[in-house]
Amino acid sequence: MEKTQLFSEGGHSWYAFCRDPEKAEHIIDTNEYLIVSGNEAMALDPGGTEIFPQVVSAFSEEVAIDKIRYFFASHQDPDIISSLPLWMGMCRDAKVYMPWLWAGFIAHFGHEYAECFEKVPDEGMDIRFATGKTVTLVPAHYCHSSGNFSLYDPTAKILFSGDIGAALLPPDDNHVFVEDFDRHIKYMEGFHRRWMPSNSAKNKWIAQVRELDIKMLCPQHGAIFRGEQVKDFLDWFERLEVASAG
Amino acid sequence: MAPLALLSTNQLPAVPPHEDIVQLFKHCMEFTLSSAQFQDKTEDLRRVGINAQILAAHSITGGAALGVLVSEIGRLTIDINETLAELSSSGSVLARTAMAITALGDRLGRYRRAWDKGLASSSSASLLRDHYLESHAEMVNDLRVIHSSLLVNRSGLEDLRRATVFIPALVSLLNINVAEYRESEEQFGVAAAELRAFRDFIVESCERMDHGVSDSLSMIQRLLAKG
Repeated sequence: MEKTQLFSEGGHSWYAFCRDPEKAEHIIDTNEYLIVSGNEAMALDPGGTEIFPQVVSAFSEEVAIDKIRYFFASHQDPDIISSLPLWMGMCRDAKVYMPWLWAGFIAHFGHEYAECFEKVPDEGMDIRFATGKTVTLVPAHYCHSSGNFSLYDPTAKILFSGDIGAALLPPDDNHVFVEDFDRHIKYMEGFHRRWMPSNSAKNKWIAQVRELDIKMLCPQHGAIFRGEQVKDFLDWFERLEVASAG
Repeated sequence: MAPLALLSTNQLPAVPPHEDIVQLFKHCMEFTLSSAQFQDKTEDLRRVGINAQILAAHSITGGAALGVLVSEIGRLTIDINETLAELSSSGSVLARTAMAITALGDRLGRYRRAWDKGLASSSSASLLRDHYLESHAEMVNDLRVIHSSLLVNRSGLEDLRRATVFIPALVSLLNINVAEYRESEEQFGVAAAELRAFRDFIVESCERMDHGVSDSLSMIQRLLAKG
């Protein structure tokens, strides 16, 4: 997997792990993110069982695996969190943050770890590292899942947006960052039209997110938006009519 | 924590081949499902017994012969039900453990691939190795549970075969009576045919299940020897 450091300052770092060349053809490509803060780490949407070997070995280059104290599942999909039992076997004291709505469903991936589940209320919450750095879980319900959160880090000014901003890139496009926003639209338009089920929920999320100071918007599929592209994306997404199968 | 230099791939016991685990799971589930089918067949046997009892009550000439038949079928049903209760309880252990072993095999395979992909040379190597060994030990334990459960089941199959060994004699008895009591010929014929079908089913099923048990036992022995 290609590893990219997105931010690093005072022992607080973000890493993106993307474009797995060993991924099986039929599996949708995903991005995994790791926040390392002091002696602790948090894995964001750690992925499905199929890619666990690649992800765990890639993460282990940055952090001892038992230092991953927190997992965040933006929603319940298998490409987000079906690797749960594999991770929890190695990180037994870790907490798994997830929308409360999906806790009973995610337990199907590994009920024996349900005691480690932290059920995030609809309004969201803050998670504080031992370093004192905090990240905020921002409600993103119906974008696309009925219980869904984004994660904002005010230190790094990075928003992990889950499936919002996702793009289905062609296999030969290995860019980690969006190169040309206008050309990138065609890779994300169909996805957002089909997968986002509510215009009002989408606009509510956009209004919340516009209040945040964001330097990078990191989706779970496709390329990362930087700088002005974040506003470009929010403007484009606001104009887009979603919830269409046509 | 062991020095990293000591943590070679050779230190990890092999992951059981996926095909073997799937095959074992398949055998265990087939066994469990076949055990459940026996329950349906015992219902057939019970029905033959009830019909015979009714016939005996109404038949003047065939009553004595049917009385023997009723008591033999009753004894057979009791014997078979006892064996089936054992098979059923063992079958549920088998199904549960086979399911657990499939998940464990999958987990071991993924950890092993992570190890091969570079985790072996990271600071997390000993963590993965310890967890791998723990999961592997759990799997070996589950394989032993399945092994002993299969041995119990094999003896259950033998009991089942033994219980049905008298059916041909019972059928002969019925055939003799058919000649003697013409007015009950049809009822005797039906009872004889149902008993024959029941025995054929038991014999065929036991043979098939025994084959699955033998396959599974040798597969487990092979897996345990490798581990």
